[in-house]
Amino acid sequence: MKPLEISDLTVGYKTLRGWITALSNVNLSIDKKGEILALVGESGSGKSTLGLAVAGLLSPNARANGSIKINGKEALGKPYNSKVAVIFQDALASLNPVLTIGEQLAEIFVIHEKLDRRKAIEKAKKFLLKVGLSEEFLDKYPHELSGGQRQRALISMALAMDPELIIADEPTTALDVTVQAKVLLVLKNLVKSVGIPMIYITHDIALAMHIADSIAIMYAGQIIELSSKYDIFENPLHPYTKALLKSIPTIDSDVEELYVIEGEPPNPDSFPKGCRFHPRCPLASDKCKSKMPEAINVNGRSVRCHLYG
Amino acid sequence: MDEGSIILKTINLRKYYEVRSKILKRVKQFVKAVDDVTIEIKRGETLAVVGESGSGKTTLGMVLGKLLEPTDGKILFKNLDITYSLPKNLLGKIRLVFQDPYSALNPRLKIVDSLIEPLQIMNIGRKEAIEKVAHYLQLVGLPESYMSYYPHMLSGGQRQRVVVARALITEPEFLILDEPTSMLDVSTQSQILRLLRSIKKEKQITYLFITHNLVVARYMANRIAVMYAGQIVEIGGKSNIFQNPLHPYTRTLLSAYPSPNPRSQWNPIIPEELTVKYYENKCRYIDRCSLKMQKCEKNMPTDIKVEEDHYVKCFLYAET
Repeated sequence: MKPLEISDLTVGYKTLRGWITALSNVNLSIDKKGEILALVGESGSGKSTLGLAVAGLLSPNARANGSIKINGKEALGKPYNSKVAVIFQDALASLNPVLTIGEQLAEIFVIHEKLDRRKAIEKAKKFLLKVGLSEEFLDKYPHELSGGQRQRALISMALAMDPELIIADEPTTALDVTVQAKVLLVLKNLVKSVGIPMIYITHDIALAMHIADSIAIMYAGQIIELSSKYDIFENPLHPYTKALLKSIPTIDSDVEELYVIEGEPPNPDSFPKGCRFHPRCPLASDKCKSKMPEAINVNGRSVRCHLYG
Repeated sequence: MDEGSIILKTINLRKYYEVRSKILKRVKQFVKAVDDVTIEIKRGETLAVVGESGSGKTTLGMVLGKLLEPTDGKILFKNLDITYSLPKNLLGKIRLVFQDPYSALNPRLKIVDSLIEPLQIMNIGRKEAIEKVAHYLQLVGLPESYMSYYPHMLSGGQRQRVVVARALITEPEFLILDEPTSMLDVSTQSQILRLLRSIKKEKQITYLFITHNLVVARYMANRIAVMYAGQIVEIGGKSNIFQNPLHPYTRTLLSAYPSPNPRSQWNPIIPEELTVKYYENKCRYIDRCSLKMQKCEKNMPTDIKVEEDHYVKCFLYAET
């Protein structure tokens, strides 16, 4: 049984100007425990919506179709699933400002495991240690913690639920780089050692290459390429993936000139006909302008592009 | 004017913020956002100022851009003292571009009116000004028709182009760019970075490029200054900094960025998360440093020249 299997997921939002499509026909799966799948894309590509859909946290004006199976059980259409833990970008907004870290963490054990308070606090202590926070943090309030410490406290809470799946939505975007490195490594090591599958949502492809096992590249509400990180880096198939890798400066070499993807990502209320990337694609043909490419299998990898069809 | 001459120079520049106690409003302590900064910026170069939040890099930009008055020290622009006032003939020669293109443009002004404003202050006639607006919009890659648009009709990348055009329209010689792409998406970021590089080449402007992102700094800069707790702890040519980083803080920062190659090793150095302290008689990085020595407890390190165009504030490199 796969920890996560999403088939043909489509999500739309109802707005004042009518329906807009956030996700179209998404297929993906996480095949084993401890596997990390990164969703990489620019803002508006649908990566956060995908995370929310899996967690059952879509807003009331959203309509979803398709199927999301977590350990074989259908999760779509069900209310929030407590076996899916979500770590958001803004830790301060995720923590209760009037409770100490210890109280918030112990609360989880009191409610879900029916432990008494003393035992719950003991257990909370153990979970804080896992993320490298000492006992003294039990009595601290969220505002007393630094950004990285708050994010680590959140990670410990995510783990406390003994989740079947973790969704980390840009967990370190608001942090300084040195702190970011620390938080991400704590998260990755815990997920790997406990064996929890994770969806890691990020716009930073370099980080995804070091945290994840496989990478799904998203563009305009679709997964346009999905395969192992090694394939994506060494032999990207989709023109957008290729362009994306060439358009980021890198830390380990001097780039003479950055590649530029002309134009801007399309608005969800007016996706172009045919392939959604065709107005920006240097290789677009007439077919790309009229027919939307299906996700096709190329040597075990998935890509949405007519070049390979 | 010859290439390589000094366009802007600071001498012991300081900007302190007072932190007052809540009740009696007595000055409790100072945040030394910019502390004893002496730099020389050469005409035509791009100096990147890098550092984490709170290092003082934005305050440095604001002081150099004349938006904040320094607490102490001197700023010389083309050998003229501009610390407290800017001579009339230098109006518009130093300009700034900020991070947030959404709040940098007045939502009730058309693009053309936003762009004309700095020219009106310089007493340039409306007809000439509008011609200039058209020219500069074209320079940043926007069609002339955008003149009559309002900011909300533009995307983030287009707005940032407008902000760049507004900065350039007074024909500045020195442009301060404060995180100009950190709010933009990857594909838009590469467009703006390339645009800024080509404009610099064409107009021979000197850039002070403030960023927290060393990867972007590596692409944009000729020289890099690393800031920590209000001080420049290391400064030097780009290849000196990236191939031979010396200060423990610079090394830590560099190690935090992974290469996009998934087969490369990523072993970031993880420092303690501590609040920055503005020590006066010891090294300010001491609480986080894994290589601290006795000396570091007793004195504040000063600039040590390690090689041509490479200075570091660290006792590890002091002779004897």
